[in-house]
Order: sequence, then C-alpha cells, then structure tokens
Amino acid sequence: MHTITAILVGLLFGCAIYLILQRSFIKLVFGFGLLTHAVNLFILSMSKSPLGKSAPIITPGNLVSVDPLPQALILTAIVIGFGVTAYMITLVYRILKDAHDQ
Amino acid sequence: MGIISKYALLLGILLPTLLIPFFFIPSKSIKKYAGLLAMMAPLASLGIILSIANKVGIPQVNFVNWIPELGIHFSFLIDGISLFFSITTCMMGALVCAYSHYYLPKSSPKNSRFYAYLLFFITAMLGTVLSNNIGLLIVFWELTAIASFLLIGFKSSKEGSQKGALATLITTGFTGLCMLVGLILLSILTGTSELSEVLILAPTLTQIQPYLTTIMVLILIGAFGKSAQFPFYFWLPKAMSAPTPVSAYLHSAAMVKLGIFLIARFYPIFGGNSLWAPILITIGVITMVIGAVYAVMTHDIKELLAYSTVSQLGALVMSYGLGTTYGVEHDFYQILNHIFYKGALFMAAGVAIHTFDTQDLRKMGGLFKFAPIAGIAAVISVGAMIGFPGTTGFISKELLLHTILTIPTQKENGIILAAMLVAAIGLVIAGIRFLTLFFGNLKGLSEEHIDPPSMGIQLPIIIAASFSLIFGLFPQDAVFWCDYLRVAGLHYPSPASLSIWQGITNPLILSGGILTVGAGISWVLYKRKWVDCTLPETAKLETKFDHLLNTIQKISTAITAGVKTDHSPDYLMIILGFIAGLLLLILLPLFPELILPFLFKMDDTNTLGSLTAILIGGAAIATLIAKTNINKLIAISVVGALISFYFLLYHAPDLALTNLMIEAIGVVLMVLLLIRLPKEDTSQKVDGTLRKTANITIASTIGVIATSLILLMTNNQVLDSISGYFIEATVPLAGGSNAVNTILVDFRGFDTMGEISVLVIAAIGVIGLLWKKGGSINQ
Repeated sequence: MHTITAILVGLLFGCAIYLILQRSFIKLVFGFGLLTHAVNLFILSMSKSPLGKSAPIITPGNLVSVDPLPQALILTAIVIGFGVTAYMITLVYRILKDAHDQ
Repeated sequence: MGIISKYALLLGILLPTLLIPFFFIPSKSIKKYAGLLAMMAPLASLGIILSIANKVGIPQVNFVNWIPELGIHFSFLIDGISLFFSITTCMMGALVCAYSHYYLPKSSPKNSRFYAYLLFFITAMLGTVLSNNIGLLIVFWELTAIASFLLIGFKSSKEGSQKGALATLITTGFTGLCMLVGLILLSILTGTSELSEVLILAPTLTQIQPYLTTIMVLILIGAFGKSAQFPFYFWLPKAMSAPTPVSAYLHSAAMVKLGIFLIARFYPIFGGNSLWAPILITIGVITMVIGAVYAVMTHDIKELLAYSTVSQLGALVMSYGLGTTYGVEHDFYQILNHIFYKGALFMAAGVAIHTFDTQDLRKMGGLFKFAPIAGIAAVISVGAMIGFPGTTGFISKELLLHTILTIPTQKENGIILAAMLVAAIGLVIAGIRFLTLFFGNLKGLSEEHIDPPSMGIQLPIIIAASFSLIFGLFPQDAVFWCDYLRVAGLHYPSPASLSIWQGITNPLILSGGILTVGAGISWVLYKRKWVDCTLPETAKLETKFDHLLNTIQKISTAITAGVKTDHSPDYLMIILGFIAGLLLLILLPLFPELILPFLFKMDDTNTLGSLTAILIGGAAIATLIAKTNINKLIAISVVGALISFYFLLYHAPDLALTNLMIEAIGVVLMVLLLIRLPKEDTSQKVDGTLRKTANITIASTIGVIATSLILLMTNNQVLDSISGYFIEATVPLAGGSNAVNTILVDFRGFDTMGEISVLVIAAIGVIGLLWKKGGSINQ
C-alpha cells in the first residue's frame, strides 16, 4: 500500500501543478486544493505502510500503532490549508469582480 | 593600559564622525565658521593619537573587544607606518578644511553635507591606517571608498560627477574585493586576524609559498586599485569632477596613498617573495610613464594634476619594488614630498578655477598679480614636482635615481632608468605648463571683472608649499622625524643621512639633464601654443571603461527583456521548471539503486487501498479533463471525500473527520464563488502547443520527483523517528491515550496556537476583501 500511496502522491502533484500553471484563476484555486491533498498524503506516507498496525490510541495491549506525528502535522496542515483556500477563493472573487466591474 | 587610554584611541579615530551632527545645527554662526570648526576635528584626533603614542611608546597594540566570535576587534596598531599616515591625513585634512571654508560658496545649505562627508572620510582614513585587525581594516577600507563616492559625487546634478563617483566606487570596490579575499586567506593560513601577529610570523610564512604568492597578488590588486596604478588608474582623472578641495585631499594626500600604505604595511611579509619586485616594478614603471605622458597631453588643469599624481604614485610603487630584503630607505620622505606639493598645487588650481571659471589651461594666465601668495606657493610646489634644487622634490628625485643606478646591474636596469627619465621630463613639462596660468598676460577676463582670491584661501596653500621648501632645505629635520617612525622589516636598521649637496654625482648630472631637456621641450611647446598636447579621447582608458559599462548595461537590459513577461503564471512556470530540473538532476543518479527497486516492491498490497487510490487518481485526472467549472468542482470534491477514506485506511480517524468537514465547507465556498462569479474572459488564455507541452513536462516531472522522494526517504531512513517518544510519553506525561491529540494540544501546543492565528489572519483577510468598496458581506 505504501508504494501505491507514493504513486498516488506523484499523480496528485502532477495534476495540481498542471492546474496551477494554467492562466485561469479558478483553475489555480482548484490546483491549489489538489496540492493541499497531495502534500498531506506526502506527509502521511512518511509513516510507511499502515497494514497490520492500529490507530495511534494508546491502550494496554495495543503495542504496534501507526506513527502519530505525521497525523498531528497533517491535522494542522488541513486547517491551515483551508484557511488559505478560503482566502484565495475570496481573493479570486474580488479580482474577477473588480475586473468585470471595470 | 588604563581604561581611559583604552577607549581614547577609538574616540580619537571616531571624533571627526562624532562631530558631524554638530554641523547640522541650524545656527548661523556655526554655518558661518563651518570650515574652521571642521578643521579642529582632525587636529584634535591627531592630538589624541600622538599623545597615546607618546605615552606608551611605539609599536603598541590598542585593543577593544567588538565581535569576538568572528575574531573582529577594535584592535589598533600604533607604529611608524600608521603614525606617519595618521599625521599626514590629519595635517592635510586640517589644511583642506580651512581651504574649503574659503573655497565653498558662503552660507550654501549644502556645506554641512560637504563637511559631514569630509569628516567621515577622515575617520575612515584614520581607521584604515591604524587598524591592526584584518576585519577592521577591510571595514574601514571600504568606508573610505564609500566616503570618496559621496565626496566625488558631491555635485550630484552633474553627469561628470555621477560618472566619476561611480567609476571610483566600481574600481576600488572590485579591487577591494580582491584584497578582501587575500586578507581572509592570509588570516586563515596564519590562524590569526591580528596584523601585529601576522607580522611576527612573517619570517616563517615562506613555507606556504604557493598560497602566499596568491595572497600577495590579491592584496597588491587592492593596493593598485586604491593607488590608481595601471590598469586601474583611469578612475583618478575621472574623479576630478569632485570639488577641488576634495581633489586636493583624496586624490593627492589621502585616499590614493592608502595603496602605498598597504604596500608598506605588507612589505615585511612579502618583500622577500620572488614576484614582489617584478610586479611592483613593472606596474610602477608602466603607471609612471603613462601618467607623465598623459599629464603633458591634456589642457585640463585638474586632469594634468591627476595624471601627474598617477605618475608619482607609480614611482612610489616602483621604489618599494626596488627595495632590498633589508628594507627601503626614505620612503616616508618621498611620500611627504608628494603630499605637500600636490596638495598645494590642487588648492592653487582651485583658486584659478574659481577665478577664471574654466579648467582649460589655454584660457588661463596672468593670475600672479591677483594671487601672489598662491603664486609663490605654486612656484615652490612646481619646483618640488619637477625636482628643482632646494625643494623636497629634488632630494626625492636624487634618491630615486641613486637607487636605480646602484641596483645590481641587470638587463632591465636600462629600461627602468629610461622610463624614469621619460617620466621625469614629462613631469617637468607638465609642471612648467601649470605655471603658465600664473604668468604671462591676463586671459579670458578683463582686469576690472576679476575677483581677486581672498587672503584666507591662499594661506593653506602657502603652508602646504612651505613644507616642501623647509624639508627641502633642511632634509635632516625630516630624516629625524622619519627616523622616529622607523619600522622593523620595512626600513633599514640604521638611518641614512640626507643632504642637498652630495658632490657632483651621476644622479645630479641626470637631474640637471632632466630639467634642461624638460625646459627646452616646454619652450618649444609654449611657442607652438601647446597645440601638440591634445590627446584623442579614444586613446584614454577612461573611454574604454565607459564603453565597458555601457556594454554591460546593454547586455543586462537584453537579458531582462528576454526573461520578463507580463503574465505571472509564466514566472511560476520558470520557477517550478527550475526547481523540477534541479531536483531531477540531484535525484537521477540515485534512481537505479535507491529508488527504482522499491517502486516494484508491492509486498504490502491491499485491495481496498489500491481501489481507493485508483478512484482518487481517476477523479484527479477528471479535474483536468472536465470542461466546465462545476464539473471540475464535483471531481475535486470526490478527490477530497476519497482522501478522507484513504486517511481511514491509514488508521487516522482524526484526519478523516477533519478532512471531511473541511472539504464540505470548502465545496460550499467554491460553489458560492462559482455562482456569483462574473464571467471570466478566457479568450486570451488559450495555450499554444509548446506551452501545453512545457506545462505537462513540468507537472509530470514534479509528480515523478514527489513519488521518488517518498520512496527514497522512507526506504533509506538514516535516523530514527522521534515518534516512539510520543507514543511512550503520551499516557504518563500528557495523560491522554490518543497520541495525535496529545501531540497537538500538549507536546506541540504552540504549533496549534500558530495554526489558530493563521486562521484568524485568513478570516480577517477574507472579511477585508469582501467588504471592499463599502459593500457588505451579503451583497
């Protein structure tokens, strides 16, 4: 599953960068949304394969759990990514509206 | 050393700069006497420096900590060399301040700025010559370049000033960089950044011969740049666009002497190097001849003096090259000679320029009647310049001829002597030409229109000139002082005497010959009204330098025009393309062994995982293919939802929940945007095939890089992860069983704080954008 994730991340990165390189603001926002997912999965893949492991809930008897650190980092990243996306959406709205009004 | 004298030297050096604010006080009496007040600053500095030297004796090191981590200290070496140059800097500085007082237009608001630059320059000069620390030396060295840039460009509205200032800064800046490299290498090789310690190590340094030669060449380039040696000499004539007091100071006494100072300072270290003498003699001789010839071939009074300075500096450099392993003799005497006569001549030229309002020698003449004191001073100084008996110049020239005649016979000997004779004759002609502005008929002006120069402006000129006469008539006095400043390693161990009359010797005969021939040629040229003295502009190196600067400017303009575009995505493409290319270059050699083997290691395949991954990939590609924005949005929200599920497969319930919520809000926002969106003008946004190919290449390269990085990093882990600590410590330290949650709120609580701050900032930004132009959010 680890290798699959690696390939998936590559694909997401490719799609995101392609969208970002377009000359349309909307596509830029879409590309940025994809990029957020790609980066999150990238960080998650650092915890290697999750097969045969449990969630990072520490209970007696649960000895092998997945790495909690990437998850903690991603949790922060998701929220910040949302903040940035929301800002970008309104920014694009403002730019296009102003351009239209003129 | 007492605490007072410890900081006293630093105070002495900084004093002129510390007094600068004083000149900006809006007081009429300060403005009125600004020059005379400014004169006090270098004199006070000199008093402090001399009293410290007198109290503790020389040589001594004065040490105050500054940046100990970098080995940079306020460490000053007071020895013969630094004292000599401090004295000349301060003395000429004081004279020039007094001269400026009468030279500058009265009560001009710019005067404060002028004195500020001048005093700043004096501080930089004192710091450079007194520095014992290599770092400090470099700092002060560059400060002199900056100060001279400000002073040369003082008449900032004139194009000549701008160009002259720029040429000075570029030349001395470039050569200063070479010196910087040399000094840093020297400091690394010797393990110390204190010059006094390097000088002690000097005899043992021969072991690092190859490096030492490189260091020597680099440091000499710095010296040649500052002292206007070939091929850097062109900045000096260009710098003549400065106000005349500045020329009198920087370009005769102060800044150009720094290179000479550097050569003297490093003589004990490099004097024995086999390349030392050849380099100094070659460069010195070339500069000496070029300067003298060009000094004859000009009609501009300041250019004449500038080129004669170039020639004289070449002679000084050559004389250091002619020194033996025991050292040199009477070098200070020769420097003194040049400082006083050239300072006086520049100041006299300033008087003439002021009176005639031109710099063309052909339009000047007969000034003596109106400025007799300056005239006498000019006669004395020209006497020193051409080596007339009774002046310092005569003895100086005798010494140089004597040195050349007594060096062991080599085949280069004749060349050096011939060059010396040509240069000396050139200087005689230039000197006599200079005097034509004082004698003959009054030119350009009628007698009633002339505004005779004041007494005050002539006084500093005669003071400077009188030194040439006093030390010329009584050379033993000068020798006495120079003897006190004797430096081990640079000078002969025992003093040699000087006298005007040494019998009929070969140098005397040559001197006489030089004067006669020079006077003869001058007479011929004078009769022909100096028409032969015009040099075509193209023969000057200054023109070549201007051309070089223009070419560089054109090239950079062309490159900029080629690279810049009007569309920001283009820049993004360049940046991303560069990053992709760079990373690919780094990763390529790692592919066969560290990346590819793991790509096909599918030992942990999971059907659910693979299926989800394929669906996500399909949805991602659908975002590219979809035609309308709404369809793209649907595809991208599918990606988001499936990724939440993928998080679950990674046993990350927190991530799955958060992502799902955020995705939902994100989609709502996007829909709102799309609904209210004014139609985007897409007519100009269709990409060409080339552009499309480039985009696809960059995007896929980055994708490949991302995959490779994951495979590389996770399969070739060098260090242990710190996650084990969080898993072990989450229950005992944080009291929670969910390790992700404890990391967020306990172990890395501040990160979460930062995350919330980012959200707040983003929210404020969103509100600001929506509220623009008085509209409300609901609009």
